Amino acid sequence: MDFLAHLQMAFTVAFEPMNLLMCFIGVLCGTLVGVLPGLGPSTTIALLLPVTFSLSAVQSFIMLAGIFYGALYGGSTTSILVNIPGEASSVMTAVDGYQMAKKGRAGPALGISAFGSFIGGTFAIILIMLLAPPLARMALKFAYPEKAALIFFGFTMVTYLSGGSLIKSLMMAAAGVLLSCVGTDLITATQRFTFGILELSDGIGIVPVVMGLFGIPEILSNLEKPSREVKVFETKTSQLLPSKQDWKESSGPIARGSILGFLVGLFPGAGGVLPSFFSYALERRLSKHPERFGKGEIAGVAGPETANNAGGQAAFIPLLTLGLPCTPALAVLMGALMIHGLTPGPLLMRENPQLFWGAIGSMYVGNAMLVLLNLPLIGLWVKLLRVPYYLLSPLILVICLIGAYSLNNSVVELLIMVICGMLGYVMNKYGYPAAPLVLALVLGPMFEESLRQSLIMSRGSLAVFFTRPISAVLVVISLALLISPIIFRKGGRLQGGDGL
Amino acid sequence: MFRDRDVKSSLFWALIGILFCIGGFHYGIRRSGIPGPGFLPFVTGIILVALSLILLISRFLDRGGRAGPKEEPMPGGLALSRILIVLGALCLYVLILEPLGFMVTTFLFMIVLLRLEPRKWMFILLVSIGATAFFFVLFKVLLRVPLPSGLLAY
Repeated sequence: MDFLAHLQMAFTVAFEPMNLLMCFIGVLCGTLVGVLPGLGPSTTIALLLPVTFSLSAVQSFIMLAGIFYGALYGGSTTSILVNIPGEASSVMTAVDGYQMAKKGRAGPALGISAFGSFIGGTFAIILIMLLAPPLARMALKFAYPEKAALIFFGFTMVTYLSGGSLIKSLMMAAAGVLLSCVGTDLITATQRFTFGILELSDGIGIVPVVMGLFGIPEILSNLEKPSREVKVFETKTSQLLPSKQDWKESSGPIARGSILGFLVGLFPGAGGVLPSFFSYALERRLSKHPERFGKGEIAGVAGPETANNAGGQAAFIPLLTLGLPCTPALAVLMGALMIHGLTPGPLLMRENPQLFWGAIGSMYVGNAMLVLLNLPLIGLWVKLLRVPYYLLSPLILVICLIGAYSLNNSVVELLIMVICGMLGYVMNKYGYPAAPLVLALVLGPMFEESLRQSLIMSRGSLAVFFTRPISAVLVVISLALLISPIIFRKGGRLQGGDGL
Repeated sequence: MFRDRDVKSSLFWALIGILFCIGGFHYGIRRSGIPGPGFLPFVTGIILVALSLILLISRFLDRGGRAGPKEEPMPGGLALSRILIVLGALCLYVLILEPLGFMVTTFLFMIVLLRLEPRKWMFILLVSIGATAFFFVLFKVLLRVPLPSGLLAY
């Protein structure tokens, strides 16, 4: 009966008029940034964070979470219609979706990805409701060594799964931890690396760093090419509904995509691209006509799109129960909650049930809104794509600048953003992933506290991480993951994300 | 060429690691037997230096010099000059925002970015004025973000 009581509470909070409005604004912004290349969910959540200062914690969480899963929907539209994935997570959708559009079947492709997204998302939310309470209860027993081991495990997974060179990912995680050391030391109140700059004593904020590392490089690399016309397929909304045959071909991929996406999405770092890659690979292997994949097969759209949303929603489980954000966007969301004085983690459900269940209720509502919103508004999104990029890019940059400035009304934040922008651009070119840095920056203070407290407990002995069963398992898995590429592949290069 | 880039970047990160190590040492790695405020920066700095050296050495051992899956060449010529202009404009924005105020700075920033490609000046001016006014109304008037007024104090 717990489930029903939680459900009732979830919907009571979610249906409060103000919360409904916030949810609507969130998913609308999310879809918008999902459509627009050059502005990702993490940048947008970072941008709108200052706006939420005047809202309550519940309202801001509902809105910012809406941006996160709204973007998962929006990305598919541009993948299908113009072969430009608005987000990295919809890259696989572009493969068969664009081919379908070329054959004049853009409508069913858009329709099935919207319905698939809805089904995958809702499936994942139901599982969140079922799994989060027991997981949080388990996590409540975690003491400092377990927390430190868990965060270490999170770092390892994120670096392991972020693709590209493992060494470079690890270097970025280390750099993130170092940046998180800037500011006042939590235990002894020593000022570290602040150089007398008052704004730095609170540490380096996540918002300017995310805008710098994700927002600015994206805009810059789009500006490298001269502006060009975007070719869009014309579609009418009346053709959007998939036919019976389409449904028959997609039901299997949607069902498998929901489960696969959910399972993959639970792992830190896997939330973004991997669920859809895995689903695409699985569907091609299971299909009776694997040769049709890449030429406009609807299963190749339905499966990945579903998995993408199920995985995105599943990523809320580690965030809300363990306090472990799986993607940069969720790291910013976690930063937002902390600004409102809440720490995501096992205590959240017990101490702020309104927020916890309200947020989950809003996800049901938001997913329904997205289907209703997306299908009729596709025409509008497509028109938006016609806004030339040379107009869009300065506007996005100015919004980033205002957003960074408004955090503390200080130029220091702006400077951090611009420096991170330059760094991020070069890092992109040199193959250094930004995600591990951002996650390490957010988790750094918590990691440091639990690490040092553990060592205080054990009087400086590292054995404390190996004598306690849970932390021992986590540390051993992490170390095994870190060592495995050296054993199996010379040079420590891990080629991730091929999907096959 | 790619090997060269890994060498450059690994040396950069090694330097960062060393700086944090020195800082960590200065803040105190151990205080009365337990880890002090410099402990994490010192240890992580060493890890970063070690990783950079591994990258460096593996680059010298790996004679193939192939590019990683996520590496892209740096732009040259026109594209590079556009990037540098945008970055320069961003730096300038930071420098002149407080003395000149939001309106003037944003207006100038818009003009620079729209002039990346040759366009009619009339169009550039109109869009810049329109965008500045729009942002002013949206952020300062509606959302009450305290943006600096600078020259145009009212």
